[in-house]
Amino acid sequence: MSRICKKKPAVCTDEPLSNSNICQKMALLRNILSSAYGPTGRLKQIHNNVGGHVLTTSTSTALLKRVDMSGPLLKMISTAVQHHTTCYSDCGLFMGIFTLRLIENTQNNGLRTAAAAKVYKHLVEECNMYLKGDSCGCKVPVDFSSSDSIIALARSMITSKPACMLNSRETKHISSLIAQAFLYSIHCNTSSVSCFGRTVTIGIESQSVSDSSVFPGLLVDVPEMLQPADLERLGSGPFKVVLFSVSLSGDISEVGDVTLEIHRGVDPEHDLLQQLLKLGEQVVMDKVSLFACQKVVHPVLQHYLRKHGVVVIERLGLALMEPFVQLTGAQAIASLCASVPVEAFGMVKEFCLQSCGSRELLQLLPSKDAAVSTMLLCHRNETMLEELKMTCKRAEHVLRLTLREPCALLGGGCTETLLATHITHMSCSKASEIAQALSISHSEFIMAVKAFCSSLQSVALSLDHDGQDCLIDMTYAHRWVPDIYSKTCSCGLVEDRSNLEKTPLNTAYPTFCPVSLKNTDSQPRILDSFSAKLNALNVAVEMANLVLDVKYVIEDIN
Amino acid sequence: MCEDTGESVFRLIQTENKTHVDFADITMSGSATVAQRCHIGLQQLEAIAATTHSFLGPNKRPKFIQDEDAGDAVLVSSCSRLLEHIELDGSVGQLLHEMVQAQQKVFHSGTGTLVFLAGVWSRVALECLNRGITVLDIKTAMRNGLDVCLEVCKQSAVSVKEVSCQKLKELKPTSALKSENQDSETQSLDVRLSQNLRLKLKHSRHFNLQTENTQTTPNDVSGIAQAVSHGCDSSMRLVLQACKLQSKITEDARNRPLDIQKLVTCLIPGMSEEKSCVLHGFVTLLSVEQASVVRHLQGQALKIALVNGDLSEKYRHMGFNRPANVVHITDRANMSSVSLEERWIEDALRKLHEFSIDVVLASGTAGAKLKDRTLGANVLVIEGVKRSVLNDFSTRTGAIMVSYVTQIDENCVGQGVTVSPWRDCSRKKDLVAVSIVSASTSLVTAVISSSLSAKLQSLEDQFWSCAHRLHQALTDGKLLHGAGATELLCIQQLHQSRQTEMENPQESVVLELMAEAWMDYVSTLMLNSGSVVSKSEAWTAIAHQMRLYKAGEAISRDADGVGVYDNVTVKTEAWRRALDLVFLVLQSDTEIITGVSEGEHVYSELMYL
Repeated sequence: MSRICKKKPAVCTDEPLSNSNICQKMALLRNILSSAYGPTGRLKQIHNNVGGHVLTTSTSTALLKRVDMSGPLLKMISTAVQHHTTCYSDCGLFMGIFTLRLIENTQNNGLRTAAAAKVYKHLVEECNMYLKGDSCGCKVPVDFSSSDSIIALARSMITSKPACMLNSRETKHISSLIAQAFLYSIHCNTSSVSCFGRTVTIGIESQSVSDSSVFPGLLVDVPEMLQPADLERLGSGPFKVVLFSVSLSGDISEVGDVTLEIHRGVDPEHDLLQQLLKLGEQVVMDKVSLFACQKVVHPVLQHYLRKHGVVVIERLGLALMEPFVQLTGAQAIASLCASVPVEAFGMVKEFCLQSCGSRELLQLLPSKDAAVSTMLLCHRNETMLEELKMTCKRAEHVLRLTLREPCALLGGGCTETLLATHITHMSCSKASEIAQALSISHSEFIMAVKAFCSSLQSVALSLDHDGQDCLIDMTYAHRWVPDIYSKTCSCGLVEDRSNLEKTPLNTAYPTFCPVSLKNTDSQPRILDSFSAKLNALNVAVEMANLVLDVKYVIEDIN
Repeated sequence: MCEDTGESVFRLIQTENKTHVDFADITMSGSATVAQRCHIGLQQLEAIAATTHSFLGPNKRPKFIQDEDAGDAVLVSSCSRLLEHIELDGSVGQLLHEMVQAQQKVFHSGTGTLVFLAGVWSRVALECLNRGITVLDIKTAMRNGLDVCLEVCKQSAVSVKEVSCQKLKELKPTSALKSENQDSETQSLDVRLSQNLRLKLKHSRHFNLQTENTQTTPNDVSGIAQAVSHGCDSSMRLVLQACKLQSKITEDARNRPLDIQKLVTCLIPGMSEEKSCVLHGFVTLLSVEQASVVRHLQGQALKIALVNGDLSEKYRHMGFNRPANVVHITDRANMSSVSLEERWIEDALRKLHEFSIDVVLASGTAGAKLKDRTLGANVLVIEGVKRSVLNDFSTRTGAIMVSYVTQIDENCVGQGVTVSPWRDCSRKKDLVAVSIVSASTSLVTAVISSSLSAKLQSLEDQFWSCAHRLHQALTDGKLLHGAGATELLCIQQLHQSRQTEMENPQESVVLELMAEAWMDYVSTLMLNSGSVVSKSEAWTAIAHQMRLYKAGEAISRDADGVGVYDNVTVKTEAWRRALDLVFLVLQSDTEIITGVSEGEHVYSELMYL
């Protein structure tokens, strides 16, 4: 019997941004994100309320994935950032901070949302034009013919995540590994440039970071019953491979939730096992040497196969299926009823045993030019290893994106200060005409520009967490920190000299046109992904405009 | 319907009583006042660590932990057991627990040092924050400090060979002569050590102290065992016995006097501790009925089967999913009354009989009915056998592990196993210890007994930590001077590197504080071992040592510290992990608890997102 409850009426919040509770939560989220930003960012310890594993991180992806938001506006922002990071792997925190600051600044300055939205849209177009243009002062080309700039880009990614807990030597080692894995993922024959290979990342706890390395091919855990003697017996390759994606555990769980009527005297388990053994017989007849399955293989089938000298790898997992297919050229078989078609077989050139600490691994080497490699990452404990694995994956992804657009932006907050200065200068010099074109008042335009640029600057300010001053120089508009040991700006491109005038970033200063640095020998130490930042900037503005435009929040609380 | 509707709450780990400056609309430069920071996370870490100070050193004072709800209590005498039993709901406690378990899993020792250092180094970090040093500078300086200490370990490590020679010499003189002799001996060693130190410092930092492959004889091993026994003499004696037994069996001696993989423990309550011993093969406790089967099978070469799973009709291998809704239908009214289970038992017994299997070792449990039937058929079934034991039997007897008894064929059967009853060990509980031995196995069981069953766990832990310390010593080939001697050298080196030119003047402050943390460590060690009566006395003694050292004398340990050695890797890893933990907490500012619903009482004072 079902009980009928009266439905509760939906809750409607009028002008959500004027609700102090919502604003407070937004400020809290902004605090969380900006305090996590940069190489000295503060870490967050995330765990559930029943004493689960603690995740220590300062990465937006990990943070937002684990943290549940209550309000729909926060959820929307969080989803947008997560979506951005899945596509671009970088600048998630930048986007979050910028979005929330833009909303906050608009609110605090009492700007009309419609007017602000128009100006922001215009300004982001200006930013796009400037960043994509040739005269852009915060862009540097990435030279793929030398490993230096690839490694510099990878290193910037790693150093911006302090929860990886690497010292300088380890950072160097890991950045070169990332570059190496990236190079492995590019096919040797240049005919098919469009397709990247795969890099699989596996982590081993309780080993020193210096034990990390990159292997060509795929590394999987050594199957429980496999002895080195079995491999010797196989002789030399190449070996025939068959791959199943269907579970071969011999159960009938795949029928789903329906009720199954089984006639007494019929034993479906037994029949299924016979079917599996028939499959095994077929595979042995086809002279297969490696039998791999995404899921579980029935122990009786495994026993049968091993008896006939076939190596069995079970429980590969979904994540390894695609790399496995790329490596072997096999097609995953999703049924156990039909015989295996000839074109579904794949090849492996060789098996090797590798060991790292207490973990024994089986290396599968590709027979053809398959750009599959495995990055083996080691760290002293689980929470640090998790962050390292995530960061390395993201860094490699950023390198791939950079190959498409071979340039990078200056890191260390210099892009933000430079961009803010450029936009302020551009807008102020043509304020009246633009305001007229956008059909808003001149003062409104100036205020919106100020809100936009100070939001950009506040991202640069978020890089500091120790109460130090942030400075901007009045010539190149780069970001500086007062540090007696450092002779350059934050990104490392501009060298300090005595007549370089600097002023604190969060004070008012006259607008100026940043001078672009020409004929300099120095290279920026810190680089940011160009496409990631460009997209983050655009989505952030769009998101802020959307949130500012929300008049009602209607929630179904049933 | 179960929807994930939790929210997240935030607890600040690090707070600044400086109000948050809103950067967007402020026009002032810098903050004039020094922010008084308060780091709750580091304070928590220090507090938890302080509860374990009595676990440092050889004289561990056990603690009782009482569970108020269940009403029972456990006796713990190590950090890993303590953290296992106390409830740590905060993330810092949880991180500490994870870190300690990781160390325990690999080394079975060094957790006391890890927790102690995490505590005192938290205090160092807190003090640095109070003095206005930035997190980045603290990190750099403390990392440098650790590097100095690790370098000390590298330089002052002695080869196990040297240690065992030393031990042999110690054993010879009569007791009257001994103390005198010992003193001069250590003096000379100290001199040599400090000379080594000075000499080696000239070489590159990657200078390898020991290059030749050590071939350790049993004699050496006993000396080394004594050096790393850390006060657990009776446990170490068991380890040594195991070691001797193993090397007697495996004459090929692949340069490995102790094979830790081939070591099993069997706990027997109710027998006095002196009766603990080491036996060849796999020893386990069985019921009297099963023991009678053993008596029957005694003295014969038996056939064996190994089952990785349960011995029951209901058991299915891992990854097998049962369909949720199955209805068995029938079109006949009178079915044969034989149940599925009966039929399965018949099948299983037929298989066992067909291949004349006498012994079945299973990793899981066996059904009661099957057990009864096997007793009648004189087949010995042993449940709950560890995977490592099954693996050993598999390689030694040629048996192939199966998941189902019914799956057995002639290839799966192993041969050459003998069984024998060992001892009626507890009259009350009707349990008998039996040993199962396969030909040429180096598997050895340490039978650990105690008349106090509450102590059994601690004794087993002690045994494993001794075994791992000895194993690690032989793998490393090097040892460090124990009883605080290495730490004294660290203090000395930290002081010395303070005097050298430093890039950052604040680094000197941090190194000084780290040296003080070591002073705390050594003094606690001295206090716990009873060589001083108060910490202040210990500090005076250490300061005296330091002055002597500056005057050119070698660091010497007090009398009861002589001949105590520590493992190099265990120690350095514990230090590294402790610093990792402190850094993780130091850099954290927020604890986020997920899956909480708004308005939950416990979190009422926290912020919701």
